[in-house]
Amino acid sequence: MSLYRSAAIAGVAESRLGIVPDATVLDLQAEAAIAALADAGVEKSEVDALFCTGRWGRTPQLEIGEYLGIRPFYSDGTAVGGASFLFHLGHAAAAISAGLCDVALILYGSTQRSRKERSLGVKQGLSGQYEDFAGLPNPVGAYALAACRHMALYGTTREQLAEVAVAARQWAGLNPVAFSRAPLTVEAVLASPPVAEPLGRLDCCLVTDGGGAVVIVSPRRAKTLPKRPVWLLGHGETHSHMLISQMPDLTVTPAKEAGARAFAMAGLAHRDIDILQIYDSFTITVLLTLESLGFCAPGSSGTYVSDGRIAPGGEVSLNTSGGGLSYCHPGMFGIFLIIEAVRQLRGECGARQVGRHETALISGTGGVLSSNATCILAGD
Amino acid sequence: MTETTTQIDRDWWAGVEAGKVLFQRCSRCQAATFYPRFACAVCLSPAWHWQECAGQGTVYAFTRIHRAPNPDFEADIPYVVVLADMDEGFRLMAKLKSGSIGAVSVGARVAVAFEGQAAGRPRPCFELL
Ligand SMILES: [Zn+2]
Repeated sequence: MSLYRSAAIAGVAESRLGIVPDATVLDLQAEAAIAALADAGVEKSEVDALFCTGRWGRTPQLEIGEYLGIRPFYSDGTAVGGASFLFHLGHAAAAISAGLCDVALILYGSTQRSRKERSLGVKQGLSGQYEDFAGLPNPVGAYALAACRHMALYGTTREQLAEVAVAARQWAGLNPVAFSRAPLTVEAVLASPPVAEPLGRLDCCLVTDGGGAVVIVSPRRAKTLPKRPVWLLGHGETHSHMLISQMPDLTVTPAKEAGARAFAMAGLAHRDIDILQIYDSFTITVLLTLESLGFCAPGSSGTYVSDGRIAPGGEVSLNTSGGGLSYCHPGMFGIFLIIEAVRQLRGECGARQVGRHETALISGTGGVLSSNATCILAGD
Repeated sequence: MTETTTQIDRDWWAGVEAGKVLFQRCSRCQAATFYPRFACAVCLSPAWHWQECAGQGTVYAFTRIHRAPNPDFEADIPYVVVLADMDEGFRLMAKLKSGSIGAVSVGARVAVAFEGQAAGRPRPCFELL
C-alpha cells in the first residue's frame, strides 16, 4: 500500500528559537502548536492524533497531551533520534490512510541551550559497555569517523566539508529568525577549534532552544484549508544500528534505502525535485546523505557542494533555512526540515524563497547515522 | 561492572582481565559477532561459542579527540579513537594506547593492547604495528 497523496500538511510553525530562558519544553511546544493550528486554520478540538518525542520526559505524549488538553485516538512516540519527526509524518499519513484519524499534530521542543541539557557523554543503552571504553564523544566522534573514512576513500577535503557550513550561513543570513547570521568563510571553518578531527566546532550543528509543530490532515479535511495544502507523495524509513561500531559502511547511510522507497512511492526522479532539506547535524551528514540518496555518485559529494552550488543563487536549493548549522538546532532538527520545506513549497520564504518550488525532498538522519526517513512533498 | 551485566558480559570482561578479546562464533551459520549478545546477529541462533581474537586488525577509520565524553578520558586529550576491522571478521572500536608512536592512517595495521584505568579494570586499546 502506498501513502501517495494520502495526507496533506496543513500548517507549520516554530516557537521562539535561540536562547529562550523563560520557557519550559511544554511552553515551547504549546507556542508552536498554537501557531501551527492557526496556520492550518484547524481548531484544537479537531486534533485526534498526537506524535511527539524528546529526551525531556519519560512519557512525552502523556505529558504534552495533558498540558495542551489533547485527547488523541492515535498516538505515536517513535524515538529514533533527530529524524523521528519524518518517521512521524509517514506514520501519520498511514494512520490517516487507514481511517484511524483525520487531524494529526506533530510536536517537538527543547530547552537544551538554557538548561544546558546537552552532554557529549550520552549514555548508549545496554550495549554501550562494548564501546564506551574507546572514549568516543557521541555523536560528534561517530560522524568524525565517517568523515575520516570518506576522506580516505575518496579524497574529500575539509574545505569541501566547510562549504556546507558556509552555504548554510549564507542562507541563514536571509532568514530573520536564524540564530547565526554573521558571514562565514571556509578559512574560518577550518580554523575553528577541533572537536573530533577532522570535524571542528563549525562543522557541528548549533545548540539552541526551540520548538516546532506540524499539522497533518486527511484529503477530506484538506479541501477547506486557508492555505495551499502540501501533499505527501512518498515516504521511506529505516534504521541500521545504534552504535557507530555496528554500522556496516560508514559512508553509506540508511538514506539509501529510505530514499529509494520514497522515490518509488512518489513516482518521481531526482531531476524532478526542486528543493532539498537534508539534516545537517554535521557538515559530513549532508555529503553522505546526498550520495546515499543518489543525488551524486559515491565519493562525489565534495564536488557537488562546492563552488557555491548549494549557496543562495546556486544550482541546488538545499537547506534554505540555514539548517541545523546556522538556523537552529534544539537537540533534534527533523521537524524543522518539514517546516522549511512547507514554507518554500507555499512560496512564503521572502528573501530566501527559491524560484522553482513545486516539489521538495526532506531527509532526516538520526542517532549516529543510525536512522533515516525521507519524504517527498509537493504543493497542491 | 554495571548492574546490567549478565553472564555473557561477565565472561567477556573476564577475558579482558586475562588479556584477551573474545568474540562469538555462531555454531549454525559461522558468523563472527561482536559485541556479544544472546543470539547470533545474523541468523538468531542461540547456539554459539566464544573464540579468542588473535588481536590484529586494520584501521577502518580514526578520529583525534579534543573533547572527552567523560572525566575518565580528560587526562588523555588529545587522543585517537580507532575503528578497526579485526582479522576474524568483526569490527572493534578502541582508543589508541596513550603514548603510541607513529602516525595512524586508514589501512594501517593495529594490535589489541590493554591499558590500566584509575578504576582498576584494564581498558582494551590498540597499538600501531
Ligand atoms: Zn548465525
